Amino acid sequence: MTGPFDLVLAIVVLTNFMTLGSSRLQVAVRNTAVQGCTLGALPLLLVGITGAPLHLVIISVLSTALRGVAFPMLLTRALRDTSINREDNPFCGPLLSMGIGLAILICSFWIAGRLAVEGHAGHAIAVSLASVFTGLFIIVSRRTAISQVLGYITLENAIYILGLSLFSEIPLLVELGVLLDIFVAVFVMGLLTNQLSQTFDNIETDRLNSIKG
Amino acid sequence: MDLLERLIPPICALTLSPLLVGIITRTKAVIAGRKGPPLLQLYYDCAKLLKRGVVYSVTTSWIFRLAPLVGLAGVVMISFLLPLGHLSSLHPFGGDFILVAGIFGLMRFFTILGALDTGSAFEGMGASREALFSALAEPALFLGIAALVRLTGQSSLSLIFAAPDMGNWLLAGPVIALVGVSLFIVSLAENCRIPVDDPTTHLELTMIHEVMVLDYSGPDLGIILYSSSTKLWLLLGIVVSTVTPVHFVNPFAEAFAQCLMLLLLGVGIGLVESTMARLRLRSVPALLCGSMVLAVLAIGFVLRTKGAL
Repeated sequence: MTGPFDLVLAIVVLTNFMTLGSSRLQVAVRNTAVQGCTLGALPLLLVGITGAPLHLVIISVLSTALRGVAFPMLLTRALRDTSINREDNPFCGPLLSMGIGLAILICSFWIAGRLAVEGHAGHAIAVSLASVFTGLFIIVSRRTAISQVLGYITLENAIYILGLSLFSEIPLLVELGVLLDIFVAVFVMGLLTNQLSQTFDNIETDRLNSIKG
Repeated sequence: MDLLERLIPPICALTLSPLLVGIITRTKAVIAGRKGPPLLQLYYDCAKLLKRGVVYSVTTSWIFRLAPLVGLAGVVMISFLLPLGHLSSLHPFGGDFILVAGIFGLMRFFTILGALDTGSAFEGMGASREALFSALAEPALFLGIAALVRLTGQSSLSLIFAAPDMGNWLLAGPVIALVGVSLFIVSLAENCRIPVDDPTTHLELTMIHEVMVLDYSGPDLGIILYSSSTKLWLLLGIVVSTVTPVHFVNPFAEAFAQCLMLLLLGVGIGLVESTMARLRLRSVPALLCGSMVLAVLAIGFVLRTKGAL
């Protein structure tokens, strides 16, 4: 068993569940930051820290910087400018969310078990599947824009895990392009949050329905 | 010699468990800057209570009087079923952890019946909470042990804890860590410690276990205090046996090391209780769900690992 690799996967799953179980937005942002920092180490763990080729080091550093530092800072800023710091009436409460997350986790391990992939890649598939669905679930079950951004980041992190563990030879350019895309997306969503809070004094995306023409 | 060896775990559990509670209390007192009661306070309390007379409410029936005795018989029986580290239990057999969980359930059932028997509204409330939280804690316990069963390929607790994979952090680090934390949360919940319940509180509205034993007095109360401390020792014993990385061949050295680990874990609980506040009752299910998540994750990892080997 590859201990550190599994440890990273375990931290990813646990931070997901902490996000699911918390209604305080600042806590959820912090969980995402922890997840991002941990995921930054993933490319290096795959090949061993000493023998890592340059492009993996670059991916690792950039991922940590964006996922672990830049996104949380952006979101914290967006949160500070609004007066909302809790997910007040989500469609699913914390306990139900965690229960659904648990069901997702079990299903993901079951699906991954049926695929003919051996060793740590199997764990990575299970965890990334679970993260994809957890991210989607966060997006549909929460009302505030910030939570939905967090769901999106979780979803993206999951794809990153899957890509890295299945194809460790991702070209640097592709990975950089993906990182740029997410950065722009999170940036735009941060702006959207600001606009929402200025227009409606609230950051629930449902309010957007009322400006339909 | 073999029989003597197998008697070590129950003897340790039945004699040292009040000391564990004393250590937790002392740790909390020291951190709060107080001197605290003597380490052996619970022994004195039990001895004192055993000498006292007993008062029964006229509304209670024989169930109320039976409950503490079932509790005592339960912990004594479980102490003979549980191993301590590499020390085997008296009679290991496949699936003995199911019997252990069943006896814990029986003890709880009678405590709840005894509480309901008094007809007090507060005790009924405590009983309902106890039933809810233990119903949530039990799946986590079973899932955690299931992960260990899968990891070691053994189905008896004694054989599980004596297997070479067990406690081998290099081979199965994440799994052991996940199961250890999960079982730790379960034992905090089962023993009604912070963050699930505050054992020192005296506000009936927030109590769980303490409120259920409000009507007991004298020897009955002594027996209840003793059984609950032994229950704490036994459940934490499972945690310690799960996470201990090194074991001794000499049974006495092993027993000493395990007991020392348990008492250290008592200091750990004291630290947890000093630094954390009791969770709101509504948040407790989320905590227990979290411990279930840890156990499920451990099972997932173990399933894949065995497939790869």
